[in-house]
Amino acid sequence: MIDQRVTVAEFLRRYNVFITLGVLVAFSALSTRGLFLTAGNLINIGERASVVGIVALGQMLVILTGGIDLSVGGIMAIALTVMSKTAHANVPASLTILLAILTGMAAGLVNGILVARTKVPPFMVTMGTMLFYFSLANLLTGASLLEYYSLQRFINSAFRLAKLGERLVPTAAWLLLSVLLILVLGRTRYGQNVYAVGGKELAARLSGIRTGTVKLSVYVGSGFFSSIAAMVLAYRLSASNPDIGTTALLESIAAVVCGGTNINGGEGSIFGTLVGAIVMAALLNVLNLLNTNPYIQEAIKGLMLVAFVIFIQVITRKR
Amino acid sequence: MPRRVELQRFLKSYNMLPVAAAIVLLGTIINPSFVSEFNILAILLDSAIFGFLVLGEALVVITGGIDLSVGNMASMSSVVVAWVMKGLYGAVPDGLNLLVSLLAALALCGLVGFLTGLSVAGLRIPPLIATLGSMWIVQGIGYSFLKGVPTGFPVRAFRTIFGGSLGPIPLGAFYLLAASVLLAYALGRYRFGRWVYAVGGNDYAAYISGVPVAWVKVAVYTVSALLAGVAGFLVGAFASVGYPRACNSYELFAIAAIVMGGISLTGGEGDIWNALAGMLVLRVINKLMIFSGLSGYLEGMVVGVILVLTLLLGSLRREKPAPKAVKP
Repeated sequence: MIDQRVTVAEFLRRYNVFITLGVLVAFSALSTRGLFLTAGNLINIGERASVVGIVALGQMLVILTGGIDLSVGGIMAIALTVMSKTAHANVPASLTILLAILTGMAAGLVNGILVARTKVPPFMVTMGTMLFYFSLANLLTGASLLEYYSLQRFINSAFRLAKLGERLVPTAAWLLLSVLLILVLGRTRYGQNVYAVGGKELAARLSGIRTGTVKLSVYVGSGFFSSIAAMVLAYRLSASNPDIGTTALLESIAAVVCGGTNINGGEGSIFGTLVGAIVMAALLNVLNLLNTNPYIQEAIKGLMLVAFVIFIQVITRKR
Repeated sequence: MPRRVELQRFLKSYNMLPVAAAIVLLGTIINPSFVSEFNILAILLDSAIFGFLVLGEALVVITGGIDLSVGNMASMSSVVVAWVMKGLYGAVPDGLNLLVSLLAALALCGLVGFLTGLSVAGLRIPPLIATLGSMWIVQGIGYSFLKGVPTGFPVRAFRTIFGGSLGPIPLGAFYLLAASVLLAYALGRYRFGRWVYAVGGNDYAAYISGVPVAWVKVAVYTVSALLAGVAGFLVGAFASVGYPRACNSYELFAIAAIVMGGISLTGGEGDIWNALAGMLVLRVINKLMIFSGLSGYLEGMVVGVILVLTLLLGSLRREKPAPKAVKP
């Protein structure tokens, strides 16, 4: 009979990101004397986590199939460019949103075709396209300030949002997309195929899965999520430079890895990625609340990432 | 004719050189001053800085790893030199000051590289994640030393040694040449070099046949960090300030150069001269953008397209069956 008892190590392995979040929240609440657990601050964390969180959803899809998408920041840059250019040309805001999403998906399609139809490794394909997309966006805009006020007005009036509602839009969009992706990955044949391709590609192909199509689709998905993230960013900031999404790349990979996804593909959960993004945002938030030197925050973020992965490695080591 | 076969084989294994020549030719047609002394020396100086990053990155990639931290490591090195030098200036003789500040920067780089290597080799953290962490760590350290303020180097000898030139040729180019020859010699003639390729080819097989796999990995990350430290000296002397953003995102161009030089990211193959040739192509493209009066923003686009095309052609060529031997 199979031993069904869950050992302590197994428990830690499955739920480590939640334990980290718990410890972090407890530490934050105590060290900031309650400042951390105010409604205003939690909304703040949600806003901060949402952009990276949405990018991480797409990044995770790609990582699940054993690839990686370095071009997410570049796709965000061209999506932002499209939004500001079309708004300038007095295109209706609903059409602007549609165009930005289509552009993001088209950019993802280019990645997908190059990865699925050639033997060039995903790391190199998306590095090449990342350089391409960034330089395209900078070339079209002259790397100047982009404005998206009309988008903000459109969303606010469409949903009749007041001041507080405005601040909840990014988080709501992020949670909604996460639930959607949880359903797609957990309840559909397509979701199974994504995991199968990342687990053992040859086995997946031999069991009749169109591995090429699955791979192509995850890059399109990543382009979709990147353009949505760009939109959320545009909604929050109402004006920015095109390369504002540069940091989203590395932070999205960190969120995915902290959420317990195997960087080599085949295993991981959306829920973990969701919590991973919260952990990253909460960490930076509490460092701010504690008046930490902003220069050293990068270093703490890096140490945290490495420490986290070491922790996962140590507790999952087979005895 | 054996000589012709030699030439063919040479061109085949160093296929980046004709590409570089073609770009130089194109540049000359667009603007004759592309081959002026000024531009050639500028390219050499540029190449010296990037070259040190490429050497370290190539070493890591040959073992099947990747190092995202080289760019920020170089920036941090320039900041640490400026910080130590400023602190000691006036208190100790200039010569000692220079020595101490250089050693301090190298020691810190080496330490971070060593720890990165340990976490890759000992704790089995994927290199992408481990070096992403160390990249953020060195970025934070670089910012925290001088609060992000670009700071000059009070000891003048620093600029003479790393930013000077012998005749018209920048000294950095000589340092790069010396480091490359040394590294190529170590890779080709010493047991260490065979170990590096063995670890990249199949680290389990290497382990079974008695290669100290873990130590080889620790060594390459340490050497890569030290070489990035030297690149930091060169960039510091060139800009005459230590600045925490001096070499940000240079790691991407180092990786691109290596891949264009035919080193596979899966490890186990490639040589450093090709990687340097790939780097030279990228630097020449960079200058071509300026000389042809095109927007600097186009550079990323051109590099991206060339990168993907090179890889595409490479993968097509690899799929073909091996060509028959040339008849004598």
